[in-house]
Amino acid sequence: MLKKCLKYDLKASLLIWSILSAAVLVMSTVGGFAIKTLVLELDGIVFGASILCVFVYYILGIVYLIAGIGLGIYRFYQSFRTDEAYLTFTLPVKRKTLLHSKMLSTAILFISTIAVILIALIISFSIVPDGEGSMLSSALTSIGDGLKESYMANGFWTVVYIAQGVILGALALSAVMLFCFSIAMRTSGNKTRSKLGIGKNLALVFLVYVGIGAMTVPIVLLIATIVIYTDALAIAGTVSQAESGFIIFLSLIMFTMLAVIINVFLYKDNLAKITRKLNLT
Amino acid sequence: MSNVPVLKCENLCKSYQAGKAVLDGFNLTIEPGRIVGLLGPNGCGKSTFLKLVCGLLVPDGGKIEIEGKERSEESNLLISFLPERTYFDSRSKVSELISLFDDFYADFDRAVAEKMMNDLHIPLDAKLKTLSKGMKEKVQLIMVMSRKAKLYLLDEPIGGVDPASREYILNTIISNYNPEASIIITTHLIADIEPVLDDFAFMTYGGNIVRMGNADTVREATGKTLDELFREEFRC
Repeated sequence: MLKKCLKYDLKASLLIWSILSAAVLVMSTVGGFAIKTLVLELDGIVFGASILCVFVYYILGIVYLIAGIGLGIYRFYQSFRTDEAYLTFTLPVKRKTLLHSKMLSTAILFISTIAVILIALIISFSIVPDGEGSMLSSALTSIGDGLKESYMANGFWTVVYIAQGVILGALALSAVMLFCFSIAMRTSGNKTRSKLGIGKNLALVFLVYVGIGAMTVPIVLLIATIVIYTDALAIAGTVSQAESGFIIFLSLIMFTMLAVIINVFLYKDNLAKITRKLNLT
Repeated sequence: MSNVPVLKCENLCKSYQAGKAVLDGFNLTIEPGRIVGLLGPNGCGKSTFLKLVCGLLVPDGGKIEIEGKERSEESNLLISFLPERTYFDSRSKVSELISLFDDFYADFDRAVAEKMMNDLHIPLDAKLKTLSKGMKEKVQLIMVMSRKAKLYLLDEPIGGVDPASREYILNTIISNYNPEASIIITTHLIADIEPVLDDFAFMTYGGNIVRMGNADTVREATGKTLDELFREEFRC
């Protein structure tokens, strides 16, 4: 049943998402050539048109990112908060499966959107010249060299830096999920269905994250103090790159863990509300 | 035919606000193979009752049994519910809705649904948002009645439908449903729906049943139609 639910959840967003993805990918080629024109410093109308193209590409990228995330959130809203909830909750599907399907489709849309943006950037950078090759090859070479250098200097901590990027992504996804849960929570928890309060939901997510931050900071500061002043990493003198990397990594881990704990709590709360306390008036 | 009631409600209670019970100790038993009209004034709790049965609301107290088993998530397999509002995604095509029902409900008869759509001149490739309110209601009713469910809950099924189509829809209801299944219909258009009803229940505020019985028997005994009896009972 999860497969079927997921199929319909993704199908509901597929058309708009596909059109936007195609537009972004087409624009990545056009934008790549536009950036190439700017790099080659051509004059006149071509230069003006190139600036316009790059601007449109930039705006489209932002719109696409927002839409990619927004479509998943909208699916939560549509299924749980509009009259479509009458269909959602009368389907012969376990409520848990319904919630899982919405969560998965939101995550898939989010990850796919990020993937398309990365592909678009790769396309653009492969067109833009840099020295004898393209900007892509230069970027890949410099990233490779940077990683090698970092590994030589910091060893294990290079892996930690890479992990930070992954954690940041997970953190962004958990923020999206939190937003979705806050929508679902307000749907099923209320005695009567209230109108969508995007502002209130955003404020809730923001407050939760500020709260997590407030809880994280003192703990991280304490650990950082211990690390630095006890030379726990056996590096004497000033704060080394390895030490600062460790502290940043620790902060992110703490922040993400708290975000995940809150998400798990909200997930359980949502599930209880749609299974045992549903009030669709 | 099974002797187990399709639906049995005992002491059902529901309130949206503290101290204002919409249903207070509501009792109703529906035997298999009956078409029951649940009739009452606005706000007496008819829709609330249907939503409780299909799980869109959680009762504050009491018991709901579907085919002898306590209502659960699995009960949705046995119930076909038509809400009083349009509840399908308006961007969907009629054919997509048919596929959705076909995918999720093992008892959905695709051929019957397509035939009924054709009879009511509803194009399968039409998007719901391009159809009128009445046409949307017809689509919903067809989808719900194309299932071979055990219990159909129809909340105002013909409210927005033109009189010419009402007859077709009522005939559809009678001819399509499983003889072992039961139907509960709530409506204000009593005169229209009366010919198809086996039983009726007049419901008043607080979920009290003030009169119920076999439609033919009551008509013969009183010499009045259900519509006339309803007007007498609930005269303002």
